[in-house]
Amino acid sequence: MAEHESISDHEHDIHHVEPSWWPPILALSLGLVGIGIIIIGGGLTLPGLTIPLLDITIIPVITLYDTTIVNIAGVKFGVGLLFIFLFFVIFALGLLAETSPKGYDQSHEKKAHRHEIVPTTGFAKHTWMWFFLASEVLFFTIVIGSSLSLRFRVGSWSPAEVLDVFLTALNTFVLITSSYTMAKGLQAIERGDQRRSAMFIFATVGIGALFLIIQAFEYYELIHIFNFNPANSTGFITLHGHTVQDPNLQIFASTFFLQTGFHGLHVFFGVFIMFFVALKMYRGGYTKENHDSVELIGLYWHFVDLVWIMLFTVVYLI
Amino acid sequence: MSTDSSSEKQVAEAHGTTAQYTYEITFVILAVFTAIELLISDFMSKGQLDFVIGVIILISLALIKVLAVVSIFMHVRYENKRYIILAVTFGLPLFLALPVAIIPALG
Repeated sequence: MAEHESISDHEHDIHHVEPSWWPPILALSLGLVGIGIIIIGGGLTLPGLTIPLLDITIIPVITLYDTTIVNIAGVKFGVGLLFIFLFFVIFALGLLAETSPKGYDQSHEKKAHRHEIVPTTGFAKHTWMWFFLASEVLFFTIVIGSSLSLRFRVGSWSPAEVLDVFLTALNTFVLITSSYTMAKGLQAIERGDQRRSAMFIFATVGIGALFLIIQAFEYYELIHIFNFNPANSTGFITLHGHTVQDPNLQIFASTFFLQTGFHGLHVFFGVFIMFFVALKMYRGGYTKENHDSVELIGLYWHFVDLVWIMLFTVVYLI
Repeated sequence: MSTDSSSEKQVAEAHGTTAQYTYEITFVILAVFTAIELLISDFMSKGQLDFVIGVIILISLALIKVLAVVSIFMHVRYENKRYIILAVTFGLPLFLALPVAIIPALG
């Protein structure tokens, strides 16, 4: 057992997770997917700077009757996706195993043998989570900011003409409610009430899933019924009997699905992880003294809500 | 990083008492502000409110909602090093990302 100087009598234990190769593997996979998307998209061009497609990226890997089915870029994209999929499968299986009665005892025993007392403040305890959220702020600022810049460069458009603002306002209320239930879930476990906390976190999962369902319905309506999608180059869409004509509709659709799509992906991952946190809470896996994962997923979920608050305003209302 | 045990205790007590109704009040405020935003957007689309004024009001309401979520739901208000968190998590990335975000507007 390692010996550390105790800072104060009020310190509580930090139970560190087992070292794992999966975080760097996941990071590399995400990078591969990103590179694959950029290269499939045709290279990268910024004002004054052009990164052309490298010839190596168009080397065919699989061909059928002289037609390239898969090229190097596609392989990068596919391999990256595969590792991301594997990560989530193994993550889910690991959490499920840990939440079984036998699994919980084994995990608890391992942690007891790695008993450490380390200094804590809110910032020190969740430092890495704040840095991760910083990277997400960076990402969404670029996505939303560049969409906004592009919009006002081409001459803007009226979202209310095309989008169902009332339905999305309802969806915003749904997400705010989920943020409330998540906060209540954390409050409950801070008071040691596991059942109540599990109830609130499961409610958050359900409400988050409802948000995704409503957004999926919105996407279906826009793409399949109104033909509002990036591939529609006509500049015309027909909504509820009247026609909207806007030469910038393609750009509008591209930026709309880019912003809301990435946000929806974040919601999906949040719901997925939260489900297993709720399950572990229900099985008694978290206590008043040890519920770091609940705080961390709570931070992530509130951040997702925060991004939607800005998205709703910028994409739908302005 | 050192800790202050008395301030930690105050933080724990703050979580247990003031947060009880704070979450509910915050939730109601967020919901009401969302409804107000919807109304303002409706007025703007019908031409009953000047576009620039409407945008200013909408962005202001959105920022207040963001502040509420960050300070209350994310507990930043109760953190010892809240200004460092705000600077590192929100301020610095915004400062770094905004120049990249306006590139499409430059042409």
